Amino acid sequence: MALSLKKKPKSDEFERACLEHLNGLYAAALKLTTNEADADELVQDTYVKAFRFKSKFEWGTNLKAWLYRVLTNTFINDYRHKTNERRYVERAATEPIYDELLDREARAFAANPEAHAFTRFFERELNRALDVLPDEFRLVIVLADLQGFSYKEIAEIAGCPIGTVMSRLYRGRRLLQHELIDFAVESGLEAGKARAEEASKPTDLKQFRRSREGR
Amino acid sequence: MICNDVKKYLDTFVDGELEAAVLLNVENHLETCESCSALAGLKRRFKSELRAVGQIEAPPQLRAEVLKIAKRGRRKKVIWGAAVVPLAAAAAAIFALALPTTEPEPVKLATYVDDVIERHVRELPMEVKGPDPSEAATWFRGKVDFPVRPAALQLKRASFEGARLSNVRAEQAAQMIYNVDGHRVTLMIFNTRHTRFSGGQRYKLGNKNVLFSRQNGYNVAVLLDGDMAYVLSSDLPRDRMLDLAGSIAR
Repeated sequence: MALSLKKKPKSDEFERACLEHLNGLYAAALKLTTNEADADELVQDTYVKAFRFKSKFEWGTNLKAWLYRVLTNTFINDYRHKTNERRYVERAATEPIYDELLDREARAFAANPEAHAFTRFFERELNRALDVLPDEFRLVIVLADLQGFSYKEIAEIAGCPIGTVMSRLYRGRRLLQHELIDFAVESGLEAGKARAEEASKPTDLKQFRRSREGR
Repeated sequence: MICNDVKKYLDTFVDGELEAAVLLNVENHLETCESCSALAGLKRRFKSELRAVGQIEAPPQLRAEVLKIAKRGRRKKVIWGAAVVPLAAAAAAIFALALPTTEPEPVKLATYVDDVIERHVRELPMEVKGPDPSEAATWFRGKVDFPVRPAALQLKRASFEGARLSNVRAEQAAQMIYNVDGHRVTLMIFNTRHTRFSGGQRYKLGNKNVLFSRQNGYNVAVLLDGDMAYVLSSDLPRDRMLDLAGSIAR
């Protein structure tokens, strides 16, 4: 799967091998920048750098991961924009409710996978939910789930320890799932009923504060 | 293992990255626990839906652009290779070098200007402080792959406040900050790699070529000197901007 060049090849083999990853790089760029124009630019910038720093690529190592590292660094340095982080910080406090909801979702899914809310309107909603995720979480999800990189590869690409990769993935996926539950609630689907029940319960302020301080 | 322990491992389990010792315990639990195995199923489904989101093809124009980028890199290499071999080929190579290979397409000035304005607006901390620009020039030595000449940092009726390492698109840039009549002015110096620009109004100030454009409410003046660009941005009026650009010594 991951192409690695065993020895230094002649002529344009490097460029050719890089071009094989164009679709994947574009998909990743599209999810990172959240718009086509920027994705286009980001991919071009990535290739310009990759070809220019060709000599820095160590033959025999993972070219795919190397290219994604170039893409990731370029994105972080040149394209990263402010995301709506505060919304998620606030949301953290309400997580226990979502966990319970997620369990119900799981049961509903197990009972009838095809008809399940998460999977029906999925593509559009998932794209939307991904787009509003803070960059650091979106990056690891794009690398792990869209591109199928291993934790170790992601750690190399993103330049952080494996433990950080795992916690960001865990957290990022939860945020995504919460976003989709919200969508289900809006659409009045299965989770919507459960959510409405939860909402009617009085909020335990003490517990709320405790969970916030614990963070 | 109890459900809460298993749930902690489910993401890693679905990613296929669980270490063997824990894997067995989780698998055993999932066989008997309906609610955990439902959650694992949902997570697996979730992952495969995400994978589907990533199955996108790059637009054909982008593919064409990237191919061009690849070819440009290669073309140079061929010329280099030829220059060290036989004499006739070397002569041919020199001839080829003297001719423009293919005229690169002009790039929209706005794409560079956007970056400059963004850096101008952000007011990031400076790495070298004013008031002496020649200190900054020294500081940049070895940090950027182009010379930052002290003479080029002396702007007319402007006080130098500081500098920082920055970038414009994929190029490293030297960013200078000035105060001109109480207005903040950013000067960004970077190598254009002989990019031709499209857009902007063109002015000829003596023997200098200056491009002017207005973007997002900021005025931008660009002095092009060989392959170097000196880009000024601020909210000063056009004439003052042109004046400043014209005062940059080449």
